[in-house]
Amino acid sequence: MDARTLYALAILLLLVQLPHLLHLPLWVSLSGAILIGLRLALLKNPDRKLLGTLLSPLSVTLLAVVCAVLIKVDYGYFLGRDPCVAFLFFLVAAKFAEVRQPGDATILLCLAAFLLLTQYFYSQTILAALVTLPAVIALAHALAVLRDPENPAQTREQLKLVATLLIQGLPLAALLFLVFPRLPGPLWSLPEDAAASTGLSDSMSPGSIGQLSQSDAVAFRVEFDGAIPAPRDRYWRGPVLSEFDGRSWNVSRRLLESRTRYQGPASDVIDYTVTLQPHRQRWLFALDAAVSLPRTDLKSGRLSSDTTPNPAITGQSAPISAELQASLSRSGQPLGRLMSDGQMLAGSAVTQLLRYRQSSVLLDARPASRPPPDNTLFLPGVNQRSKRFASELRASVPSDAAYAQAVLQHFNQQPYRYTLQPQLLGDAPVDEFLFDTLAGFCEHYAAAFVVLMRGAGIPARVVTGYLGGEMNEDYMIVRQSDAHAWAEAFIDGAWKRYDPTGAVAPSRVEQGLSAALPDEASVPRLARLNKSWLSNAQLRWDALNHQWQRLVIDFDNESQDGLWERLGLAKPQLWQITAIVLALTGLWCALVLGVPRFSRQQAAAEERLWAQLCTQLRKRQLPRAPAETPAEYLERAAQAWPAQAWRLQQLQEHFAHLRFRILTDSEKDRRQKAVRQLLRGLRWSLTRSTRTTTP
Amino acid sequence: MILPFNQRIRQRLFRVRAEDGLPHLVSHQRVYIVPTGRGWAFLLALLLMLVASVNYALSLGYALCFLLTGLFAATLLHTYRNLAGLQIMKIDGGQCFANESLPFRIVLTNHRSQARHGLRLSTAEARVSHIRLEPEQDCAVVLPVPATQRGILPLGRLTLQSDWPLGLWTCWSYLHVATQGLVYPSPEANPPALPLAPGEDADTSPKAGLQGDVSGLRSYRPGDSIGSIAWKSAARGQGLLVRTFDNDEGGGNTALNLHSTGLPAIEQQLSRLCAWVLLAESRQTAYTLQLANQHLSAAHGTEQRTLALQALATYNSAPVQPT
Repeated sequence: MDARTLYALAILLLLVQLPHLLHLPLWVSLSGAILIGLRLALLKNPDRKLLGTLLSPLSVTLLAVVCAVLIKVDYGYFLGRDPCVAFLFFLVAAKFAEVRQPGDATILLCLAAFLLLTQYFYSQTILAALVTLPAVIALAHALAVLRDPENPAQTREQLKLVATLLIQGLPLAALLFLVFPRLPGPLWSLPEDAAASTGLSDSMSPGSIGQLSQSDAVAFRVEFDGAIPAPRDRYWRGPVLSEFDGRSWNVSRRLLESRTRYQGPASDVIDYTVTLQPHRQRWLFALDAAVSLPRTDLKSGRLSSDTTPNPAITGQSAPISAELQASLSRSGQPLGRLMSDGQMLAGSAVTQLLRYRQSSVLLDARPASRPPPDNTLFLPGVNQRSKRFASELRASVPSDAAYAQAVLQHFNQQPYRYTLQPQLLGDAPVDEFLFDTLAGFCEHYAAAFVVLMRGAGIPARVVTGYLGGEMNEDYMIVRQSDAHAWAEAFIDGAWKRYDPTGAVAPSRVEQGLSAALPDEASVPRLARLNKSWLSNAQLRWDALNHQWQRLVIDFDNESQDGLWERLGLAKPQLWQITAIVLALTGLWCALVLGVPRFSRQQAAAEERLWAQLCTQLRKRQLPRAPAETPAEYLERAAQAWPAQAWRLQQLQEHFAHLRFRILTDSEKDRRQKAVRQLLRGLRWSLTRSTRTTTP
Repeated sequence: MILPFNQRIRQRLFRVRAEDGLPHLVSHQRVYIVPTGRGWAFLLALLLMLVASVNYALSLGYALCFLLTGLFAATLLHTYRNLAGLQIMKIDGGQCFANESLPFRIVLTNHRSQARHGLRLSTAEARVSHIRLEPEQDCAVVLPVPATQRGILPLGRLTLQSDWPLGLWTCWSYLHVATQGLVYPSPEANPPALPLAPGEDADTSPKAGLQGDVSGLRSYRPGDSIGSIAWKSAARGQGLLVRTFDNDEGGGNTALNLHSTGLPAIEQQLSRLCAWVLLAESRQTAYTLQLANQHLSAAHGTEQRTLALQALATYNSAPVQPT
């Protein structure tokens, strides 16, 4: 492989790998970059034996195997989207390290093209699209260099060529993008894909849960031993957020283990088994409130060895790590701990499908064994309006409990709206939400409620988790779209649950998200913006992104139907679409190849000029006689105006060439230009001579 | 002549017979284009990318796929345009000795106002790559065809091929003209000394009478004296042949013929004769050449050399056609 090709490939790889650095583990990014660097170093000093041995096909293959094992260890699984992307990332660098033959380079190019696509798993923003363009140019350039490495063509010339090709291909690409049918639903799904990247996190800011709610991915599945709780009781408790910095909510850093044990009647206890999708966080979810520690499912020992597990639950799932299960059940330890604020934490991040037994009692108030920590009262300096409002409202009611009810009533009676797409909030999000926008998703209501509680001196915290779950045959599926945030306030010595969302959109609590937002998607966002906001650059960027999302990312079958309707073709037949596509493709080919130059048109140009000359001479009382050849005619003219003889002579010669010789385009142009000039000169001098001779 | 259908198809597709004339314009009907191996791999990658886009509903994935598809399609048109419209003005066959390369000089004309890049001319045995034609210019390309045995070497089917600009498509056109070159026998290395003709009949002058030493027969040329015609041969129906006579005076007359080589195999004999012709030419010695039906009278110089070598090249094979 020569230097030119290698550098072209290295630039391509750099551009392709760049967007992946954002989400890959550091060691994968680093090893990829190092391999590329080593290969370039070997190119500079080909004599280095050690480097040559290191980058031989055999050792690179070994490296790739090692990397696959490490990725399996790091991610906890291999046959999923993310580890596969990480492996592909490494593989591309490894292939580059040992590239020798043009065939290797072909494989490398194909891998790079695919890696370029995989960045869209993580981001499909305008920025991601823009980052792709240089990579595509580099890909085409690498192809051009690879075609003929010895080609002396300059890089600039080749880049120009490549740009031309891309620009010419653009109309066809746009056409395909618009008419290519969008197949619904996934064709397959890798076992770990569903929840590998989505889930609740340890912090919450306005919009974060709203975003999560747009995912259909499964969070966990539940099998109940006995009765199934009513929908409004299905509060699955997750991270509890007590720390507030004025904008975002975070998990408390100092967590103590809960020591309280349930003392109530055993008949209230609900036992169930949770199958948690790996979400790469430590939380375990349980119905509020959990009264036991999560323990290994006794049946799960069978599950891994049983030849006929319940296919509805395990069919799509990765096998549970038998070793982990075995080690845990041997030691008899619970799978996680219950914290004093009610959240459950596993020993380490959940990277594999996890099944655990859990018991809960449906309670909306939990007695506290400890006094509420200070951070549940803390309010940062922002959101002053809310604070004022809280102290005024608190003064008007007799008790803390009445105050909480008054706040809920405030949400209920004022024109608050429940929406998945609230407006963007500034530095004091709670103030803006409470008094300006009045529109928000569950996290806005929960956050506002907690701020109002704290503003009135009542300890309060945000609880995130899931609300709801749909039954599928004999088990329940809880999806990311069920993600929810609610509030807890410390009133009368117990943490009481308040769900302000229920005060605004009761159907969310009773029936779920889609019932509360029946036509959210149809509300155009920009229609709600007023002028003062448009001046805000941030909002403009947001609007641009929103349009991008709506027009490009969410382009689907419905958008296509809309497109046809706008063209006046409601529901076109397949053959109509095919005909349109073929016609447009034909047009595109003609445009790219250059509209063929018809010789008739070219002849017409010369004939027009000849006709001009004849008209000129006719006006000077010298019409062309019938059956007179051009040469004879111009000779006669030369006799009539001897001063113009040289012009007429030249004209005759040019016409003879234009008519009877095969000329190149530039020669033709030159002669036609000369004829025009001569005609102008002839006209001018004839006019002048008549003027001077007439008097 | 009407050929069977399958042969006509074969001729149309593969130009198996030399039926094309010059100058030849590579028309769109004569251009074939298919993806290269790399092109197929690229297509496969595109297909996989499309499947991934469908599966994960990646709108930008679709966009990327289609952008690359557009690139692939635009490359098709450029590859095609790079070859179509090219004109082959003329092809000259050269000469060489056996086991050397016979140069065919091919003149190409580019009428377009854009350059043509990365052209390759090839026959079954030879190829020239990386030909670049500047806009609106002619370009002469020499295609060296390896010549393994003496005789007439037809150029055979010429393939014009190009995978410019990205190497994703390869596009070619066949051209089969009747151009041929001439391959002389390979001159023997270190030949023995030139043979001298017997000098005892030195006083016999060819002009003295027609009964002189007949050294051979050659075909009649206008202007030959009627008396020198070999009427006996004519009567046998062998056409008009003319008796030729040794007209060299004195000794030192180099007479080259198959017998004088003293070798058994014909190719070896021709090889030695070839070496002798070259030797004689280098020594500026006049020589005669006597082959089965050809006789060259004593002379030396470029013309004699060409005639002699031509005669050796075409001995016992088809006569040389003017090219």
